[in-house]
Amino acid sequence: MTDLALHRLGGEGPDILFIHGFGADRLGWLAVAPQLFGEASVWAVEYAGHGTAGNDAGDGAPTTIAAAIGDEIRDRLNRPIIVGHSLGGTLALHLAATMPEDLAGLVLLAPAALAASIDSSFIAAIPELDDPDEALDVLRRLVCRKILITPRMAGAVVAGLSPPERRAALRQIASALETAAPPPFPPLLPFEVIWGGEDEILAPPEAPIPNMQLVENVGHMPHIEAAGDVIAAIRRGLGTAE
Amino acid sequence: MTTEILVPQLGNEVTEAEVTEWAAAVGDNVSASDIVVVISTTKAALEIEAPCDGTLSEIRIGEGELTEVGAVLGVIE
Repeated sequence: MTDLALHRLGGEGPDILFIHGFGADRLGWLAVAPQLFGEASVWAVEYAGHGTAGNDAGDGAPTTIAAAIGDEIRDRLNRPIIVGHSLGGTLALHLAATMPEDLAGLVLLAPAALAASIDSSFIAAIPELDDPDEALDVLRRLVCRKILITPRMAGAVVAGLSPPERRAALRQIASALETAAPPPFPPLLPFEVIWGGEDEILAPPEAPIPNMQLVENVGHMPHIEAAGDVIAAIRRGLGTAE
Repeated sequence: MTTEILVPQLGNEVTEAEVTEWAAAVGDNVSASDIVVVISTTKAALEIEAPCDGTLSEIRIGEGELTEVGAVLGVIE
């Protein structure tokens, strides 16, 4: 097993579940999730080593984490749309493969499993960050517009890594990613993919894939730098698009 | 006619944010959907668009200042 924490962020309506990327947490959905409170019941899960979740990552494998999320949401959420970023996108695809009848659709933001290449040095650097200035340089690689990652954020990331168990959990997940088999694609569900054209961490697929939108002048964080596009994709999934 | 630029809802757990950058200066003409100001928490940034066409006539919360959900960041005339 592996630790995780499921949070209800707010709103009323059909369920949406957000799954963060490696090193992030539920509060990283700030630019997107609250905008949906008027039309959806918005949830976010945090997996081991992140946010309020514990630090037992088990074997750290995406299949293990996805199975734990599936167990947690199966009886609590009603056919949610899953929005997954980066590693969270990979987890969403695993969930789609194992419990498609329990999900309404996927919105995948730079899903790791579909990347043409992964900058593994970035993944390896995250658990080792211990200097706020160094962290700022590393984290600014996430975005195209560098102002969007602030010194306060970098300091918070370093502070959050102070328990050794937290770093160990992140290392375990990072290590498991190196040998993880990709989930099936395309999923047997409605889905959309959004990718930043300037993503320095996960290169977009070289061959065209269905239902994918490549957004120029956006890095690895479409939910920050292209929040409107992400919200629009979710609304199409909900059937509430204008 | 004036329109206020407000700090939007940031979720049930977040009540304040820092003004990271103004992308427009007082006196600049702005169009609806132009990004005029960036705010951030310790976890994420949010780019706020102009709510209407007009001229940015006032900046009430400067860069580096903390502000609260619902506060008036600036005014468009």
